[in-house]
Amino acid sequence: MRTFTKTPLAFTYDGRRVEGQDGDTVGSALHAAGVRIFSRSLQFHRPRGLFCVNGRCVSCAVRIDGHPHMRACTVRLESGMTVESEGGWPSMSFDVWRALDFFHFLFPPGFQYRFFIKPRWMFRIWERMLRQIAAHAAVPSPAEKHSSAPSYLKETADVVVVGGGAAGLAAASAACRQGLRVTLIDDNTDLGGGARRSPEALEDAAHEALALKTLTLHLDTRCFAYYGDGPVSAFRGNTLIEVTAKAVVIATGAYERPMIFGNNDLPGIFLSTGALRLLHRYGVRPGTHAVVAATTDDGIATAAALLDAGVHVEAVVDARMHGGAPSSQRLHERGIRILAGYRIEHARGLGRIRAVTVAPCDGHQTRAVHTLPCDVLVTCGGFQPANELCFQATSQGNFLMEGAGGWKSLAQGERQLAARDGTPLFVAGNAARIGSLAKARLEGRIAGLAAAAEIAGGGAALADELRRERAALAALAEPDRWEGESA
Amino acid sequence: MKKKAFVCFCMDVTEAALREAFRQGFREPELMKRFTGAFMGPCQGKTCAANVLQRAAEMAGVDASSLRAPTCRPPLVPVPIGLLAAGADEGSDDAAH
Ligand SMILES: Cc1cc2nc3c(=O)[nH]c(=O)nc-3n(C[C@H](O)[C@H](O)[C@H](O)COP(=O)(O)OP(=O)(O)OC[C@H]3O[C@@H](n4cnc5c(N)ncnc54)[C@H](O)[C@@H]3O)c2cc1C
Ligand code: FES
Repeated sequence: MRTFTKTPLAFTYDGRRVEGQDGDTVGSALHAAGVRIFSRSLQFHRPRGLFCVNGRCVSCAVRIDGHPHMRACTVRLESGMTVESEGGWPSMSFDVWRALDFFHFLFPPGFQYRFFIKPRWMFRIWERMLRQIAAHAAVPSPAEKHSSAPSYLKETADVVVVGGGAAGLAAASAACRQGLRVTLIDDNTDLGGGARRSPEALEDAAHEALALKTLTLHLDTRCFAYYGDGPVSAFRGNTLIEVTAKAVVIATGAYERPMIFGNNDLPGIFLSTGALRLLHRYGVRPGTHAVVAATTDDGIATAAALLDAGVHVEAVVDARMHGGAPSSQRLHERGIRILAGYRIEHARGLGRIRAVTVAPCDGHQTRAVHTLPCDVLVTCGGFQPANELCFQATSQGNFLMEGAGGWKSLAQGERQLAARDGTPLFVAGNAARIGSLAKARLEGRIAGLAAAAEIAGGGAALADELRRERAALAALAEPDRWEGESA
Repeated sequence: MKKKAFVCFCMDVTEAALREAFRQGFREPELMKRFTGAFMGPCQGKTCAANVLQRAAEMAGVDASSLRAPTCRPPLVPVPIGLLAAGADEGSDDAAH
């Protein structure tokens, strides 16, 4: 299962002893130990497993040392942890309420507004029952509650940068080099964000950032709010961190979009970024037999990465008629079957994926429908900008999609906005518009320099540098290879 | 049984549910959100937003980029509840009172 091993760490899962290894999260350790069903879905009690492996989707919620509803993929494994599954009756793995899935016609959308309110007195009874079914987590007992009180860190900085990917790093180092005090917040345990797939490109930037004397780094720290008239709020473990700054840079990257097809929630189906995180960070192969569904060249790269890690790739199902040629040529030479112009029709399996059925995109009757056996399906359905913080800070419109007229709102002009209290706010990288690494870096640098110009005024030299970088950004011929539409 | 294709994984909202919402007249993303529960789960739209907007745009026959995504409520990520009170002693006014 593993591509590399480290010091083993033992913990318990539902009473049985499981071994993970140093550097694991609870999620990666459980997956490596063969656990596929992590939780039950809210309404239909369908089995769910690791999906985004990045703390975004909540399908890996478990109880850890008495704390309910923790996302297993975000909690670093420690030896002796007690991990328990949540929800379901009599247990999460064997859940009688699963039957709800087959009686779904009784629960049409909006049923909660119609069905349970008449007659009025019945509502109390229904309420108690629904709570029982939908409540997946029990409140911690007094003994299980935090023994230590949460701690609080209050900081100030000239610039706070949220997100330590290519854009965030570039912004932080540009602002530091202008003599500003910068605080950088990222929810990973290392810098680099999405660009960690090409480590060489990143090493320099990360090293450079670490060498900056005026940089305060908060890793493994999640920013959860910026209301635009107060500090940027984040937390790490049991510590609340509030940073007040003169300028804010949002470089939170993007969220991957799931593909929509029948049974697209079966355990064993991964977002490509999730599967790669599992593989590269924790050395855990997501499965042994993979099918990769692609709409962009990301899919080709993902398939190659899986193959390199010793995962057998059954086929690449590419929605494009050209099947990703010429990039996919290399895969083809390695004996990988490329199904060009195909899409996933539905996934099959009970409790975990066993096969996928694929069909031609254009509904061509002449081309065959295939069923491919697999124990993991990796989907590359494109990205949506992670721009909620900008939205919360400005109360301006939140537009996620690029249309015929280009990107709305955030992507226009200099990517400079103003928070509600007038604090200059910059958006850089994928958070502004999905694009390449080069674009993310340039935008980051521009954000850092522009923040310096806003705060300190800066001289003609700074204005010159800004002008040059902006010209470079304008001249950047942006390949649209990284943008994808979900199938 | 027809296989369910999920758009929102948190609240178990399927593609068919979105179509039904649209049919009943809940055509704006904000209304779809309130009717189906999409965007309202613990992920606050991180997984579903783009796909819901795209489906809504297709059904309404408009350009997806013209649709405004519903508000993502703070907190952006699930936060241990006790933490929100952590700064209260120091006089921070947005800690939970
Ligand atoms: C599979 C794949 C292949 C690619 N290949 C190429 C390629 O070959 N060439 C190329 O030029 N480009 C490529 N790209 C694009 C390139 O990687 C991105 O454009 C670039 O990494 C974007 O950088 P960023 O800083 O905007 O975002 P990211 O690198 O995503 O960084 C955002 C960071 O912010 C963090 N974050 C998000 N929200 C929070 C929060 N609330 N609190 C704290 N931290 C948060 C994230 O964890 C992440 O670390 C590829 C992208 C993908 C996904
Ligand atoms: S939140 Fe853990 S897999 Fe998505």
